[in-house]
Amino acid sequence: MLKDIQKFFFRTETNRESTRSKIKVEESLEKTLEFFQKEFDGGADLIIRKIKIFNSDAAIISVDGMINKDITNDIIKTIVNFNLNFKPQISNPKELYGEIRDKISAFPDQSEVFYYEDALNMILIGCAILVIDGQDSILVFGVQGFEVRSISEPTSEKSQRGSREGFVEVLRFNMALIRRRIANPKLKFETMQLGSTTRTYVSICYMNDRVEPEIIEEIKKRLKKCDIKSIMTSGCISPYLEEEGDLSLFSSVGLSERPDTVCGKIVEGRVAILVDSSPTALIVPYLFIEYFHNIDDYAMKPYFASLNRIFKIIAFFISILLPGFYVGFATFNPELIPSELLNKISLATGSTPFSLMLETLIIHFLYEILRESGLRLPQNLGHAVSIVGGLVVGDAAVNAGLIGAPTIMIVALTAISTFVIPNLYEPIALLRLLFIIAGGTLGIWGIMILFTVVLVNLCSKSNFGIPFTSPISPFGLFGMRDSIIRTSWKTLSKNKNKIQNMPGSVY
Amino acid sequence: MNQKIISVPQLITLFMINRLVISMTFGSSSINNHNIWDCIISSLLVFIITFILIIPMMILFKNNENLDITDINEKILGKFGKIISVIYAFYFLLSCTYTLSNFKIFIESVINPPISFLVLLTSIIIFACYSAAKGINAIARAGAIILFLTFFLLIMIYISLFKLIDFTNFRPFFYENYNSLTDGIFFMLSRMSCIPAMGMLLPMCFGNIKKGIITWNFLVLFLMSSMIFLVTGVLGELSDIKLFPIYTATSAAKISKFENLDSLYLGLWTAGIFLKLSLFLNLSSECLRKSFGRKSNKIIIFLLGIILIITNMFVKISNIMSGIFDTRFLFFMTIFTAFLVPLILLIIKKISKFKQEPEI
Repeated sequence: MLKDIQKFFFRTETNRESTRSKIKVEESLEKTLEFFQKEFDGGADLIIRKIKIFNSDAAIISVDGMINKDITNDIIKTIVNFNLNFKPQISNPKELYGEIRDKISAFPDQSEVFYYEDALNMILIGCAILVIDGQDSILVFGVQGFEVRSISEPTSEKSQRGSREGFVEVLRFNMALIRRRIANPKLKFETMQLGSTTRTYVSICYMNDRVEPEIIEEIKKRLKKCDIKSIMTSGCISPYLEEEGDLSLFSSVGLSERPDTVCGKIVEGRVAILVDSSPTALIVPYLFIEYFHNIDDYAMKPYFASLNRIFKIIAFFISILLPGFYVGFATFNPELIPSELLNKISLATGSTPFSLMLETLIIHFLYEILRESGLRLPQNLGHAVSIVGGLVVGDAAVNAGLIGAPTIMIVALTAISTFVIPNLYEPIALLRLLFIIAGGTLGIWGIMILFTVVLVNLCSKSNFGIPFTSPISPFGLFGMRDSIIRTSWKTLSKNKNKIQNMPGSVY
Repeated sequence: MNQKIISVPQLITLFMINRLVISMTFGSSSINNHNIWDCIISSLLVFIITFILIIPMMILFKNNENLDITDINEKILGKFGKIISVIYAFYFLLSCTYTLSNFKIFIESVINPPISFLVLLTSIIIFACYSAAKGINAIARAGAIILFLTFFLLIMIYISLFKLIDFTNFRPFFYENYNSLTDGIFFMLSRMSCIPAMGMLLPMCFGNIKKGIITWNFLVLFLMSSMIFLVTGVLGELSDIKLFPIYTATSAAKISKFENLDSLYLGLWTAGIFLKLSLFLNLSSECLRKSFGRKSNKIIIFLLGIILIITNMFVKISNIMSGIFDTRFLFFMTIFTAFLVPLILLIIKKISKFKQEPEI
C-alpha cells in the first residue's frame, strides 16, 4: 500500500522535475533532525521521539494528529523488543537498518526513501519515519490515522434508487470508491501535486481504453498551467480545465459528489479529476445536456426518465425566461397575454409605485439576499429567515401595495424551477436578471436578441474537441439516445457509447 | 484552404433562416402593388431558375473543392481577383443593410413600439458582431435550434390559420395581368443571397452537397408557396393592400386563449435577422480579411458593424444611399455575384487551359 502511495504521490510530473534539486539523506541523525526542525520551524505538531536501538541512536518522526498512535506504538514496541533480543552478529548501523527493514518490522505499509523531501512529504501525509544514526536512508511506515468524515450520501445530490455513498475529503478514499465500482485494470489513476503553497494532490482518473490519449495529454498540460498558490477546493482548478479565453457563463467542467455518477462518466470515456480535501470530483469533457441528467434516470423506466429530463429542460427555460417574458409582454406586447390574465396583472400592478421591470428586479434582489442568508446561517435561524422573508415581507409588501401579487408569483415559480437544476444555479441567476432588463427595455426583441446571443455563446463552446451542445446541435441521432430522452438499457448497451463519438467531435 | 467545419444540414439551416427572414417581408409592396397570389407561379419558376444560377458556382466548387470564391478569384484573376473579393464583401454587407432597412420599415410602420429604434438596431448589430466573431460553426449550431423553434411555431400558426381559409379568396392565376409574375421573380431572385454565400460556405461543408442544395431549394419552394397560399386564403384582397401581409396573417392566428401569435413569430423573426446578420458579417469580413491578408477578422467585423449602424441610421439622408438601396441594384449585384462572376471565372479558366494545351 505504501508503495502505491509512493507511486501515486511521488512519481508525478512535479516531483520528477524537482528530483534534480533534492537533498540526499545524510548519515548523521543530528543533521537529519536539524533538517526536519528547520523545515517545521519549531512547529508544535512535529513529534520527534528519540530512541536507542542497541548502540545506535534513532528517532521516530511524525506529525501530531495525522498518525494512528496505536499502530505507531506497536511499531516502536517491535523495534524496542528487537533491541532487547539483540543478536551480537549485527556490528554496524547499516546492518541494523537492514535487519529492521527486512525482518523485524513486518509492517505491510512500509517503504524507504533516500531524499529528505520525500521523507518530509511522507510525514505531511500522515506517515511515521524511522531515522537511524549512520544510515543514509529512512524507513517510512504508513500509519495514517487522521480524523475523516465518514462516507455518507451527498446532500447536494440525493438519489432515490442509487447508492448512498458520496465522496469524502480524503483523496485515497475517493480513489478507492471509484476502484471498487470499476474492477477493471484499465482504470488508471495518475497523480500530481498542484498549488505552490498547499501542494495539494490531484488525481486524474480514466479508463485507458476509452479515452483518447490526446485528451489526457491536454488535461495534464492545462493542469500544469495551474499556477495558483492554494487549492482548497476542486473549484480552484476548474477554470484551468476550460478552453482558453472562454468567458461563457456555463461551465464545460462537470461536478459530482457521487462515485456512481463519476464511474458512469468514466466508463463513457470521460476523465474524472479528484482533488485532495474536496469531496467534489470534476468531470471533463462535459456536455450541456448532462446538467439535466441524474443517476436515478438510469434506475427508472426510460419513458419516465425521459419525461423527467423534459420537465427539467422546461424548468430551465422557465427559470431564465419567465420573468423576462412577463416584464416584456406586460410592458410592450400585452396583446399576447390572454385578456383575463392581462386584466388581473394590470389590476395588481397598476397601483404599485414602481415600473414592472424595477418591481421584478427588486423582488429578485430580495429573493437572492434571502437565499444567501438562509444558506449561510445556522439551520434554525435559516428557517426563521425564510418565514420572515417569504411570508412577512412578501405578504406585507403586497398588502401595502408596494409590489404586485403576480410578480411575487412569477418570482416564486422561477425560484422553484431553478432548484430542479441546482448545478446551473449560477448562470441561471445571472441570466434571469439580464433577461428582465432586456425584456423591460426592448420587449420581445430584447429577449430574443439576448436569447440568440446566449445560444451562440453556448454553441460556440467546445471542450477537448467536443461541442458543448452536442448531440442537439450539431445533431446526432446516435447521441440523442441518452440526451433529452433516455432509451432503454437494451438500446444503450448495443454500441460503445463514448463521449468522443458525439457529433461534431474532432476525434 | 478551408477546413470542413459544417455539415450539409447545417448549411441548409443557414440558408433556410436567410429565406425565412426574407419571406416575412414579402408583400404586394415588394412586387409593385400587384396580386401576390400569382407569385406562387413565380416561386415555382424561381425554383427552376435557382438550379440554373447555381450551376457555375457548383462547377467552380467541384474543380476547387477546398477553395472559396475569394481564393478562386485570386487564383484565376491574380491581383484583380482581390477587387472581386471586395465586391463580394460589399454585397454581403449590402444584404445585411437591406435586411435591417426592411426591419426598420417593419418596426416603424407596423409595430411602432415605445422603444428607440436606434437602441434596438445598435444592440442587434453589436451582438451580431459578437456572434460573427464566434465563427460560422457557432452560428450554424445556434441556427439549427432557432430554425427548429421557428418551424415548430410555423406549424402551429399554419394549423391555426388553416381553418380560417376562405376558398372564395382564391382567384384564377393572372386574373389581372402577368406583371406580378415577373415582379415576383424579380423580388425573389434579388434576395437570393444564398448563392453568393455558397461561394464562401461550400468549401467549409462536408456531406452530400448536391442533395443538400436540392433539398434546400424544394424547402424554399414549399415555404414560399405555402405562405402565399395561406396569406391569400386568409386575407383575400386584403393581402394586396397590407404592407406585410404575412405578418398580418400570423396576427390572426390563435391557440386556445393565446391570441396574436404574431408577437411570438416576431421574436423568432428577430432571432433569424440576428443570425442572418451574424452570418453575412462573418462572410463579408472573411472576404476582406483574405483580400487584405490579415490574420484575424475581428477588427474587420467591428468596423463593418459601425458601417452598418451608420448606413441604417442615415439611409434617408443621402441620395447615393437611396440609389444603392434601389431593388434593381440589389438584383444586379445578386446576379453578378451568384452567376456572372463564377461564369466568368469558369470561362477564363477554360480559355487559359485551352491556351496551355500544346499544339499537335
